[in-house]
Amino acid sequence: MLTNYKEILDKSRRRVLALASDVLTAYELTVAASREGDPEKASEARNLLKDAHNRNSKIDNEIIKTLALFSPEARDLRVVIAYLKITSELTRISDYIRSYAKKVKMQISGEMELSALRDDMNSFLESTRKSLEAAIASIEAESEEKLENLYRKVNVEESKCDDIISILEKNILQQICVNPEDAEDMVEFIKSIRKLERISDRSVNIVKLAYFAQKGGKLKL
Amino acid sequence: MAKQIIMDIKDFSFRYAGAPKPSLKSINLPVYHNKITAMIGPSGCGKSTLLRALNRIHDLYPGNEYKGEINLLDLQNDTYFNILKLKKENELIRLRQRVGMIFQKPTPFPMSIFDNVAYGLRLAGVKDKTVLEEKVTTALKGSAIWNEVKDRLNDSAMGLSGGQQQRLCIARAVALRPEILLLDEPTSALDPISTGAIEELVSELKKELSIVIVTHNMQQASRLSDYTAFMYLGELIEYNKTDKIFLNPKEKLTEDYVTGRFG
Amino acid sequence: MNRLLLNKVILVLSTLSAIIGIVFLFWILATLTIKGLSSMHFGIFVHDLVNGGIRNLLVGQFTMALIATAIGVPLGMMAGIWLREYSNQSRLASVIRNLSDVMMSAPSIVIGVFVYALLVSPVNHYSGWAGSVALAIMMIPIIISTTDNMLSLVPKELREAGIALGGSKHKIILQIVVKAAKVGITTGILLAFARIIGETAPLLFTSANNAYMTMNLNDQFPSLTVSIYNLANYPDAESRDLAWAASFILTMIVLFINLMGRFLTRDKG
Repeated sequence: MLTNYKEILDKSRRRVLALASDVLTAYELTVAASREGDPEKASEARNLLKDAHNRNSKIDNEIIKTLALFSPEARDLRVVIAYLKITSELTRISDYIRSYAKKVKMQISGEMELSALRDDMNSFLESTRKSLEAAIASIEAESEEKLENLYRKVNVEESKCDDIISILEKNILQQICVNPEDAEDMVEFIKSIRKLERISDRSVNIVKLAYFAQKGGKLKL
Repeated sequence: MAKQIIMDIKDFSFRYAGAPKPSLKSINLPVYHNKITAMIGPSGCGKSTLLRALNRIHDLYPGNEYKGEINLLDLQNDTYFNILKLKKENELIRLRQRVGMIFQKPTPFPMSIFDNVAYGLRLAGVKDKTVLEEKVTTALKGSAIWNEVKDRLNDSAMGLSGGQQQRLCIARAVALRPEILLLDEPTSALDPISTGAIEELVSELKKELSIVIVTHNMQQASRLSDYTAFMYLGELIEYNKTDKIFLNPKEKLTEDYVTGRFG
Repeated sequence: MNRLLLNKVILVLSTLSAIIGIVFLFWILATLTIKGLSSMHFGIFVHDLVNGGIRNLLVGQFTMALIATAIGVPLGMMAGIWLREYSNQSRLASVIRNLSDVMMSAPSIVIGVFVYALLVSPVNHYSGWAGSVALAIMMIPIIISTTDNMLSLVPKELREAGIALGGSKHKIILQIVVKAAKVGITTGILLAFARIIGETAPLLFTSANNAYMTMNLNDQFPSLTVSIYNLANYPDAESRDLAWAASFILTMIVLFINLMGRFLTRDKG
């Protein structure tokens, strides 16, 4: 294998993994910020991901160059296409995390009565985290067995997130009925949770892409 | 670090003896030091003709007409001289020791493997047996064929496979430590595995010398080269960094060729 | 239907022709062998013609053929190399090639007469030198043609590869090109040798014959072929038997050299 071909493939892989790792770190920071009431952590999370779109473009351009110059085939081709799409998913996820981190900062500085929703919220955040973790592990995984396990895991966590979101929304609507003056803030809150919910959806996509890269078949997201 | 030009082709035109029209028209092409420059284009575009002008091998067949300049850099005193002006046989010999050539058909000489690699060295006057052995070993190692032939250096070179013979020819050429290596479709007569081996070899050789390769295989050009020249009907249509040519060619003709829409 | 019939007819006719040719060949060989072997006795290899043997004739024929080779091969090869490597496309080259081809089919007796006028008549006696020269003249066109053709089979890339390494033209030709054609050229030389060793007419008026063993080339020189010609015409049975034996031995020699040539150019695996 030509050294420059190998190098460019390795470079793309490193970049994707670095972005993925930063996404997970930023998510965990944001959740911690919310739990501990620490706006610093939320800022740090936003900072970590502020370049996500640029990094996405860099990865995209490198992959386009790889396709033009080296005509990859079989697994190499699938991996490179998967990286292209996984990066896109990761960038969207980073957008959700950044907007949630912004809300968290406002939440901490402002006043919102949310203690009743605390438990559900924590479960939701934890399931989202697990799905994200599974997705990022799948980018590096190579064995069919491992990938299938991660696929199962991410699907489980994603349906949990779906369920909890419905419960949360019901509870919030009840809260609005009880305290109509909080309606505006509550609606904002629902919006930001909705966005977070998309993280687990996209995590499922990432695992499907990782599976496609290693095992082939037809792409179906 | 500024790109150093090792061979500057300036307004170069070429006409074969007795041909009604020139085969090359006003070519301007700087060849960069320690880089791989590929020349691509459809059959008859003049890429091999241009390559063969770079070591004056056309002179084997008298009557050809040159116009313009091909300036070779003298690395020692950093000046250029026009190789088209060389007339004396020993000057041409000296040129060919600095600008080596590999042909499409592997051309092992009818002698032992050792003698093949030592041939150019002996022509250059190297007689000392230890020096010859050392240079031959280095050349064979540097051409990724040492392990396959180290136990049979005295066997005839004709017994090697096609891919091995071509690597032997490369060893023979690099034994002279040329500054430029010209490759005329070096892998078109070989199977994919031998082709891969030679491409890796060429990629490594770039560290020590400058390479100009003619290929009709576009993927080979895109994989290997740093700069690509697209030629058509004797003219240089476009010359640029390889990733630009294959991603974003400026000329429509280039794009048509590269996307397979030619003809 | 017509075509199939025609096909069969042609097949039958060509097979018959081949058989006829082979039949005659074997008839000749058989006759030679029978008549030759029956007349052979160990003595013929020990005695000279004067004593009823052919020892001096064998030595003489080979000697002249070898001298002819020593003259003809260098001249022929150099001419062939010049034709192919130095002046390939010129008008002069094609004229020389044509002349050489004509010479190959020149009547051997004419060559003999030519050498007679040149080397025998002025000094008024036959000589082994004259015979060797006549044989050499016969050999040269064959060597020229073989060398020329064998060199043309060497791919031009080989020459270009040599030049590309910084070789001068004459070094490339001698060290690479001729070496590459060496098997073909050697076979050509061998076959030319086989040809001239069986020639009679060029020797008739040049070296004539000698019944005694001699290595003096200034004198008439013993020749196997001329002897067969003479012996076959004598009335006595002994001479004719000797002629048969000599013919058989000559045929075997020529056959052997030809087979050696085939062996050298065999398809090596």
